[in-house]
Amino acid sequence: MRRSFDRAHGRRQEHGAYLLMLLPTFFTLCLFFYYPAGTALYYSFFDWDGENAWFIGIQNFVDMWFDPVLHISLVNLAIYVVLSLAVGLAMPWLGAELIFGLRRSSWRSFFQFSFLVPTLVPGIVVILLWQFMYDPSLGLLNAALETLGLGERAMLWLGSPKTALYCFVGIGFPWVSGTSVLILLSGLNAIPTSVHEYARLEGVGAIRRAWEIDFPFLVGQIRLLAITGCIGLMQSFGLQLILTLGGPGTSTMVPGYHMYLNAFSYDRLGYASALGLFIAAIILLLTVVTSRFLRTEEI
Amino acid sequence: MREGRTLEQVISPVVLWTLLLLTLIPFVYMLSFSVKDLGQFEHERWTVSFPFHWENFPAAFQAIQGYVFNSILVSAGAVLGVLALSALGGFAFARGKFPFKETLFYLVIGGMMIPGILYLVPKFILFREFGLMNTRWALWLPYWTEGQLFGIFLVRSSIEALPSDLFHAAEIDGASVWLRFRHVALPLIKPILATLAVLNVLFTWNDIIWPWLVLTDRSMMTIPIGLVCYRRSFLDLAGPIFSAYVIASVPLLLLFAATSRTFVRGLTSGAFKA
Repeated sequence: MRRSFDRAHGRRQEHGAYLLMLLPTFFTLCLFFYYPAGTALYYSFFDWDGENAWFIGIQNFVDMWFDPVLHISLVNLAIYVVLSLAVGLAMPWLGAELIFGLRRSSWRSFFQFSFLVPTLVPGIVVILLWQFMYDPSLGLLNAALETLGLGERAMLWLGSPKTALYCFVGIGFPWVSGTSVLILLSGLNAIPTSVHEYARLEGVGAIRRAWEIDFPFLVGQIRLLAITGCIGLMQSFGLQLILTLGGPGTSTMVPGYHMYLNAFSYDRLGYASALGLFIAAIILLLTVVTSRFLRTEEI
Repeated sequence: MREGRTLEQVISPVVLWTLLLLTLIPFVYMLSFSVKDLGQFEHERWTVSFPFHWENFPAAFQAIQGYVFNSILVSAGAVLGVLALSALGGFAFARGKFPFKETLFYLVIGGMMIPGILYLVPKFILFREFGLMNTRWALWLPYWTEGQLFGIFLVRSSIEALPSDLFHAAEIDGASVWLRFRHVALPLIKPILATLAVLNVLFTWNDIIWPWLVLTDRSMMTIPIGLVCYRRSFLDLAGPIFSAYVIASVPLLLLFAATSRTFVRGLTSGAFKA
């Protein structure tokens, strides 16, 4: 009797200890995560200038439907995300296949580490260096065109509405991101050697091997890179803040930056909240679809 | 083992070297420009020019040392907080038996699923109302809050993978929950925590949008924001700007050199934050 009382008492004390350990987590999570997230949902239905708020029902969402800038932003974002993902997956895959095919392990690690250099330089430095590469009068691209005798092809790059968005995609050329290479290489290394040995004996060419044999093994890695890449690309507007302010015109406008402007330049915080909710919903939807589309048994 | 050299084995290194050189072009020019003066930048921009103007470096360092210091302080504080919260939280979820455990865990998983852009605006208003603009708390508190989500998830699964006999033995010996955390779990999850630390350093070091919103005072700025300001203080491009870029790149390169194995593990684990 006494013993079981002690045990129950002890267990309750242990509950207390564990919950105490979780206290800072839930305090921060509720105050700085779920509270603002809830606020965002709430103010999506308000006209809010940061101090006063008026309930306007679904008016913000109706406004979104008729907002031409948002429509352009969505098209820009789609182009930017699709192209960035395409090169951001294909090029590291190519790099990983090539490194994997090297005979000497010392060369394999040499390339593996060399491609990490851009990852180790702060992202802002990479962005500012590319801003310089694109500079119409001082930059490398126009200077290279000049040297090749193509001076008349010189462009404004980030300064022209025709090219600015594609310049964003071009940042990081040739896009062999070290991190993605590492992740894909770990996938390639996990393929049983007998599979590749068999393919070699059967005389399967490198490209067919990569597509028909390696790809199914890499689906897990590619899916993760696609999802994380997609989530990141769809929310970020750092390039707009630093390089173009969404311009020239609306040529590099994306929904995230539209939200930023509505919140901090136009004081339309309710509309900005609704935009945030809308973007978040698209991201969640795409995450689910991508996970289904590239389904695997095990990560 | 393999006979002869196939076409593939000849082409691969050539393509790899080409890709690598293209990748490194901007960084090679960054180094080259960092030791040019204005005249050299104007007239010998694309070649190596002598003499090297090393005085660009002290000049740039003078201007951005505050940003570097702020960034180190912000990242260090963020990482320490995230590690503490993740270790405690992950341990409690892995070993604890208390009511509503899985329900509470859904709050963590849910946090990982919700895109940050949803609550960016109200988060900013919240920090402004708390009067935390231009303080380090405006960075640390959100970094702790958001960083712990993946951390708790990671620590929980690695503690659950440990043999539970370890903890039972300690329990029979009369070790309290805290002692079991401190002397059984913590030493065993150190590698996981190191990985998590790298991931968080990379994220906080590179974060642009949130610091852009909450830091307007030059004395508080971190490297990304500070560098943009420094760049804008020049009418045209010049040597010291590129020296500043080089200086800003050094801390992370040093960290990588010191912890390359852990660093690589951290980089690749980032992909699993889906």
